[in-house]
Parts: sequence; structure tokens; C-alpha cells
Amino acid sequence: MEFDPTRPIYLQIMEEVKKRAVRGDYSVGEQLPSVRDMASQMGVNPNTMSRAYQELEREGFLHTRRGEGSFLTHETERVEQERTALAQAACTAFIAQLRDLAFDAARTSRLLRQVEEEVNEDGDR
Amino acid sequence: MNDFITLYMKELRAQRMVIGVLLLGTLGLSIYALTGLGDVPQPRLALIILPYASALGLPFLLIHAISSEWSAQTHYQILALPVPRWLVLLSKVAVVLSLGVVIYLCSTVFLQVIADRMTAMMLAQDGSGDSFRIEPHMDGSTVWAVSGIVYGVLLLPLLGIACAASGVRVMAQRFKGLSTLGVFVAGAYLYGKLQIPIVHALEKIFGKWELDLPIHHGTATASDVHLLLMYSVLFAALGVGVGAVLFEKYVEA
Amino acid sequence: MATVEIIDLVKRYRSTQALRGIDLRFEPGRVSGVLGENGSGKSTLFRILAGVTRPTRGSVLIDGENVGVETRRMSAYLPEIDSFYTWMSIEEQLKFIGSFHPGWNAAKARELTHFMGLDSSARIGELSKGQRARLKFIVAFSWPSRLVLMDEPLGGIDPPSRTRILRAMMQEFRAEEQTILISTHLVNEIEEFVDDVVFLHDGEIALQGNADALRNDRGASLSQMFEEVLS
Repeated sequence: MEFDPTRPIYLQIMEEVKKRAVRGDYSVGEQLPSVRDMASQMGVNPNTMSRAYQELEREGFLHTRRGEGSFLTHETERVEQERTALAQAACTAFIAQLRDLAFDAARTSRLLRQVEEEVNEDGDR
Repeated sequence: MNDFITLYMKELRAQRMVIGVLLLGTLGLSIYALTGLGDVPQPRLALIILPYASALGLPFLLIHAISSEWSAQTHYQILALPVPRWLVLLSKVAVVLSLGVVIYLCSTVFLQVIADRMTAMMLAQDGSGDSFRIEPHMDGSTVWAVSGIVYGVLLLPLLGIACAASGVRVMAQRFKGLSTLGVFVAGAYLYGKLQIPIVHALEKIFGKWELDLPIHHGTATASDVHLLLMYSVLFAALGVGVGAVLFEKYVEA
Repeated sequence: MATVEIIDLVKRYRSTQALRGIDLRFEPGRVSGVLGENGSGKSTLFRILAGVTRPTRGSVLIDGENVGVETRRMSAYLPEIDSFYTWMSIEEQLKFIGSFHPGWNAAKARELTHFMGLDSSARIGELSKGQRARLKFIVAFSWPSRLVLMDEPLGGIDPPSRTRILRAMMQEFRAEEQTILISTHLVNEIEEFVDDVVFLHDGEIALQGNADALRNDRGASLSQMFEEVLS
């Protein structure tokens, strides 16, 4: 996995785990790979991975059961919350970019509908 | 002890080329001496001691064994090992001493062979010559005792001085050639200067002892040769001690 | 107890001062990057920690003990300059060093050798620079060292070997008992591997802290911080 070295790595790991859950790579309540395995997979320091898991636990996104490992939250709502949060963040970033290009709100909405149609057409083909 | 053995074995392998050369040298010189005997049962003294000449390389082998760690960049490895510095030095001294013993053994075996051949030749002839020669009736143990004492008296102080020189080299860091030379000169001087008083003192402790050497048509008595050997051993130990202390105190990468 | 505690460490050579009185702590179980350009004093620091160079002044404690035979027993030092007996085979060299450290495991050494794509019976003199770098790694991790000192482990190594070494290091790293110190000037290579960093400049500490915390505060990568420190 590629990391942006200008931002804290543990935050990026957390985002990645959330993305994977939202995408369905991990099911609700499923056991996640151990800190070591995940760290190895992502090519990061196990301590950083450990911190990411701890923060995710603090946020209630995962639960660690002693002697068993870490599990994704059982609450589907929590994952949905995250889905929305990630989508919102993507939108915010997108809007900021377009404002930067001097696209106002109305123009942004029109462009969005237009591009969405194109993407759907491509999808159908 | 295990650490010492590991270091010793590694040093043996590390110096195997030089060891091989010196052993081959001993062998070669022995064969040369043997063939040089010819039919004349009057050996030139030089031939007899020729095989021992390889031992002259030993002090240099010790210095080389130490400096080669630096030239090969392995000094980081050896200094990072969890062993005292003086143990590293001692393992190298032990290898050189071992080689010294082997050279002594090989050379004295050949000396024995030569002595026996001379006896055979002289018995075959009617034999009497005027020039200096060693009486053929010198028995085996005398050959070994005499050669051992002479060998030890000459070699051990040199090794002690070489060890001390190694310590000084590490301390000096610059002018290594000069300091080595200086230590050898100072060491030789010291050896000479201390000889009489120390042998005298040792005589008081251990008493006189005489070795009868059959020379010409009689015997000569070599007094106190065992004390001389003792002194040489003590002097060598001093040199090794100085070298070890300096090495321990000053060596670093 | 901190694994490494350094107080007012000074190292003076005849004409230069390599370290000008630094105070540092390295906590156990973490990977720390000691970052600086050539001549910053990082190699000198590592040599002193390894016990192969003596400090001019100051104290260095490893697990509460002064640097000496006992601390060297638990430390694995990988010098920047390859320090191997080139006449030995890989297996012989590993065995030689391993025999001085408790817990050295011949099977583990063989496993790591294989993992690194090296041939145990190959003579060290015949190895390429990248292969020797990989061998250095095996030296450090084939026994349970408490302190690993990697001085410029990546310099002059081909990128595939670099990645292989760093990844393997993360896998072998025993966070419960081990402390790893890596010195390098190739800061971008170790971004995702270090927990904490110390920037050395001209024998002094220019900046130190937790890597992610620094990234958070400055919005910059370690590499960018490194450039700032140098200027």
C-alpha cells in the first residue's frame, strides 16, 4: 500500500481499514487480520499498525477480544456511518477542487449530473 | 573458554596462508639441510639451525594478524563481539605460539635425523676431525633440551616484544612503523639490560643447574641455561601483558 | 527502563568534534530513525552505542548498564562499511558471530538466508553489495538481539534489495523486546518504518520526536523535515 508521507501513517491505515469495511472486504463482525499480519501486508511498522487498531477501537470501529484477536464492529450502522463519512469527505474534497476552478454551486451540480450519466453509460456498455 | 576457542580457531583459518608458508618453509629448509650434509660428517652449524629460521616470521605474523583486521575492515566485527579486547589479542598470540611449537617440533625432528645420520657417517668412517663438531654420542633428550632452550630463549622475548609493539601501535595510531621499530629496539635493550640481574635473582630462588654438552672430545657445561629460559619466558609474559593492557585500553574503531 | 540512555555525549577527534554533547533516550520496543547527512555524527553515535568506539565524555547506558562486554552481547551492530571475513562462507560467518550471542539459532539463520535468496555455502568475498547488505540483516536477526544498530543499511543497495531488507526487518522485529535504530540519509526510504526520529546536524540534535506526531504538526514528510533541518 502506498502512503502519503506528509500525513500521519496511522491515520492513513485507519482510513484504509474503514474503506475495506465499507467496500465489503470485511464483513460486519468478521475477524480482522492480526496486527502483525496486517502490518506485514501493508508494509508498515507493527507499532504504527497497533496504534491504528487502538484508535479504531477507541472509535468503536473494531473490538479486541483478549486471546482471540480483533473484530470489526457488529453494528452495521457504524459501518454505514463510516460509508457516509467517507463519501462526505470525498464530496467536500471534490467541491473544494471545483471551487478552485471557479465552478459555482449550480455549475457544479450540472457537471456532476452530466459526468454521472457518462459514467453510467460506460458502465452499461 | 568457548569464546577463546572460537577466536583461536577463526584465527588459525584466517592465517592459514602464512601458516602454510612458514610450515612449508620449515620443511623446505629441513630437506635442504639434510641434502646439504653430503658425505662430509662435519655439518656446518648453519645447516643445523636452518629449519628453525621460519620462526623468525612469527613476530611479524603476530603484528600482521592484528593489523589485518583493520586492513580487511573486520575490526568493526571483532570489536563489536562481546569478548574482552585482551582475549582477542591473546587468541592471536596463542596461534602464533602454536605455530612456534610446531616449527620447533618439525625442526628438531629433522635435527635428530641429521644427528643420527652424522653418527652413522662417523661410524662408517674412522672419524676424527679437528674442526668443531658435535659429538655423535649426544643422546636424543639432550638434542631436544638444547634446541628447545635455545629456541625458547631466542623466540619468546621476540614474541613478547611483538605483542607489546602491537599494543603501542594501537595507542599511537600514527607513526606505526616507527613505533614498532622503537619498541623492538627498546625491548631488545631492556632484555639485555635486565638479563643479568634477573637471572641472578632467579638463581637465588631456584639454584644452579648444569647441562653437560658433549663438545669436541669432552664436555662443556652450560650453566643456568634453564634460568635463561625462565627469564625469557618471564620477559615474554611481560611483553604480552603490556600489549594486552594497551590493547584493552586504547583499541577502538 | 529506557533501552538506551545517552547523557551529554561528546566525541572529539584530533581535528573535529563528531558529537557535541547530546542527550537522547530510546524507548524499548520502538524503531527509531537517526537521520542526518554525512558528517552529522550519526555513524559515530552508532559506533559508540555498539561499543567499538569510546566516548570522549558523557555516559551511555544500555538497559541500565554502561557500554561494554555485556551490552555488546545483546546488541547487533551492522556497520555502514561491510565488515565480514571474506574468506568465510555465509554459514561460517553467521555461525562465528552467532556463537557469541545467546539464543543464536542455526535453523533460523538458514531460514533467513533462504528467505533473503542467498546460498549458505557461498563465499562472502564473492557476494555483490546488495547480497552483503542482505547478509548484514541476517546477522542481526538470526538471534534474539535486544538492540539492533543499523548504520546506513541501504546505501548503494539496489531498490529491490532495499525493500526486501526493510520489509523483512518489519517482519522479524520483536516489538516486545527489541529496539531498532536505523541511521540513514535516504529518509524517504524509511518513512513508513520508523516510530520515532532524531535529526542530527553537525554533531547536535536538530529535531526529535514521534514521526506521526511530527507529520501531524508540520504537515510534512520526514524527508521534507530533513531538508529543512539541513538548511
